[in-house]
Amino acid sequence: MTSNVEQQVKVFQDRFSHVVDEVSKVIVGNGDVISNVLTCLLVRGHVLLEGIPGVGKTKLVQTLSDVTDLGFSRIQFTPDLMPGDIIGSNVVRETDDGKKSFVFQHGPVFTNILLADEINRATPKTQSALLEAMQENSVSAGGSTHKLDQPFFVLATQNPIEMEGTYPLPEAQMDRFLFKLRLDFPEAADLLTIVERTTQQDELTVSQVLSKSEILEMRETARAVPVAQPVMRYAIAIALATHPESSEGHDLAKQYVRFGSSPRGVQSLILGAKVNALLNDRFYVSADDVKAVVLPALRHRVLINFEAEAEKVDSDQILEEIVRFVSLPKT
Amino acid sequence: MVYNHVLIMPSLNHTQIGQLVSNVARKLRLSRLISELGFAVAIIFFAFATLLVLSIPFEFVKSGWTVLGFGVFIVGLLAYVWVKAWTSIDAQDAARYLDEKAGLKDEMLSALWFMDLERKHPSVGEEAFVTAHLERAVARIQPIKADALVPLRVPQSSKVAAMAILFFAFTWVGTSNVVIAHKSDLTVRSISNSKFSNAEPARALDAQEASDIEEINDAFAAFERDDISFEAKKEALRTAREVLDQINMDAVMTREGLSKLSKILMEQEGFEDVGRALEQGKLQEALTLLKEKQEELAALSDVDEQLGIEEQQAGSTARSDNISSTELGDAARDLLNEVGRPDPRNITRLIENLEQAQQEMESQERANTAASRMESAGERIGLAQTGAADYGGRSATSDQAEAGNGTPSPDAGNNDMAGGSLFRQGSVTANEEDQGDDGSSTGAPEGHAAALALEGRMTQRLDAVLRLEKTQVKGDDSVEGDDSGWEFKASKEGKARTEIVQGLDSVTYGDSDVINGEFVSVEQRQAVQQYFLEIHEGN
Repeated sequence: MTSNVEQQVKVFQDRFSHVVDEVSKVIVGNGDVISNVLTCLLVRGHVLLEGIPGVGKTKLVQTLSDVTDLGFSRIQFTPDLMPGDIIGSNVVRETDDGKKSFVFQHGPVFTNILLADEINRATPKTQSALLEAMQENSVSAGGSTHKLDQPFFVLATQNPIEMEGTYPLPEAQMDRFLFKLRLDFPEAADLLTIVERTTQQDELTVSQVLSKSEILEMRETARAVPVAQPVMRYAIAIALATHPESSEGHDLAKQYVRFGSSPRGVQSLILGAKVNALLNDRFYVSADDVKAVVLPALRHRVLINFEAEAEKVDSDQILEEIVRFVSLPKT
Repeated sequence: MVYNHVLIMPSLNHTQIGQLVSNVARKLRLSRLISELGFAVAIIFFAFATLLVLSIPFEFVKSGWTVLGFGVFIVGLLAYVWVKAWTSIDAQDAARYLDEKAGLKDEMLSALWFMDLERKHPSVGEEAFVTAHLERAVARIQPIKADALVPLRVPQSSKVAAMAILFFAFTWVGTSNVVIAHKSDLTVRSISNSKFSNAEPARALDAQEASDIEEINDAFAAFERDDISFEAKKEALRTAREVLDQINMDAVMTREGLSKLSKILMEQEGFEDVGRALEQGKLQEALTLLKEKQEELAALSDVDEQLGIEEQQAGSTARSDNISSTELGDAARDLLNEVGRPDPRNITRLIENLEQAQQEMESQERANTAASRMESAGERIGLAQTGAADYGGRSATSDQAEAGNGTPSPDAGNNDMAGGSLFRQGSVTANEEDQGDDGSSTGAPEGHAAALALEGRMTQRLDAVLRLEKTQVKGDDSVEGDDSGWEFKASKEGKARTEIVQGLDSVTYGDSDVINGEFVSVEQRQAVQQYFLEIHEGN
């Protein structure tokens, strides 16, 4: 049994590293972001990518779809985009015998990897069209519910500096994303590599290294990692520390946080920690694994108040302080 | 990425994790216990040392119940420390410690939790990942030895404990020779040790005084005799005077000592009447009262001794005897209103010293009587002196009021002495140079203040206006160039007022001394000048 588990973990690690290596051929730097995107894919989560224009948000998603044997759709969110443009709509179709009936025309959401590009440019009504799809993996339209093919993985991008004509994601929508990842501007060495790779005659091509079935298998492996209760309590303690109204809330949270993490935040911590444990060749989740995913899992769930914005305190700073403050609780 | 695969030995039992964790927990508890006990011992010994010091004035570590109470407290404290130290570390704490020291990343903590869960829900053990996790954990702890992980070291608290024990030992040695004294004892002792009542044998002093008086009497007898020379008589008189001086000096010191003693005894409860008698100079009455006190105390001591003998005879079980002894002790406290009672021996010494003082007083009286007879005899033969000079500038008596030529001084209380004035006399007379502090010449005893102008010497400006004017006396016989027709007188009122106004208009502050800067310090000159030019110029 043990050797089976070891084998399973080994396979998981190998596949994971192959995908990361392949994507890294196109996306230079941001190795952590690539790993975290893949982590979300493997624990049935969705990713919100944030970064300034040109850092490779869209390219990352495209490359990920290229290296995996998964269907890919891209929706460019605009203010006039309607929910029906995403989930599809009933259309009248005439049969050969002249009868007319409503037929559900599948929208771009019916895919495996959905790139919601510049999601904050659409109205909240359109943004919310993804809510059910992301949480329930299904779409309700025309009086019927349509199941989405698995794996279903949404990658949304947004630009943090261009705020005019945008609609910030509502909290409920934001909470649906397992991780929020930030793509930093590449360093000089990385920039050099990017220029070299993208300005040559031949375009870079990536090979497909992960099939749909393999992804589903990896998902099972990730979910099987056991978590001891002390570690779960540690994740809970971190989430509670972000709540200003909680007695266990951290002082910084009480000062700067408007709303703390939701229960989905704890789920994200544990799921992300499981993949992290497997990648570190552990059959169990440690507190370090939880710590490793605190920022991507909670930064979009901790809503800062006006005072924090005025003093230029962001959620990452608060979370880093909380991680330093919270220790493994005693039972 | 590093893949660290561990060879799993299927024969290994999961209980090895439990055993290791238990061993680590036990050693951690022991370590904690030693450390906490060290602190407890340090606290106890520091407390003991403090009690030793405090017991000197408060005397509360005396009864067996107190010692028993302290003993119970110490045992309770040690038991509490023991229980707290032993129960404060559980298996999870030990697992955490193990993880931290061996760098196992919460593996033992997690494994321990799953082992516990497996005992409650055996189905957990069937999960592949849990089993693999536990087996890997077992393999991981094989090289780990609890002794190496938790070595038993001498804790830091043992140093504190050693310091406390040393401190206690020093305090013990330092306080072992201290005898707890009651207030009344201290009072009587201080009285007994004072100079006036120096516990020299009273008989020796008596002999000395007797010889002194004998010497005076010899000198007196020498005056009566006709067969000795004038010079010899003079020499006898000088010797007698020296002896008299010494006696009087001793008497003065004795009186001072009695005065101090009366004050101390007045504050001492039970001895107020003695002190009052001494204050009134009733030495004999004070002695009588003291002797009565001595007899009371002696009676109480006899009762105590008798009771002590009876207690020894009755044995330690005689509880009723103990009670009566305590009651008697209380009665003694009630009698003197003190905790305990003064030592009768001290009172005996006090009585002896008072008797000695009484003898000194009597000696002085006899000596003075003899001296007055001697002086009378000296006058008859022309040797008597009336001034203090022959006595070496010292007064023959201790009475200050009889001292000749005391310096008149309000401080010394000699205000009523004739001659000399306590008032200052005016120092400035007409045509004498004005010193600027004139006005004090009235000689007010409370002193004087110089009437200086507020703004430098601006008054000079008015002097110029109010000067006497020269007016011509209209007459027929006036001769030009002759001053006889002129007289100096004050200007008419109206004209003088006009001149003042004109003077004020014409004379500016720029002409004043403050502006010239003659009387203004260099640092402030500019500021003062600006002040007067800008503020006063406009007025």
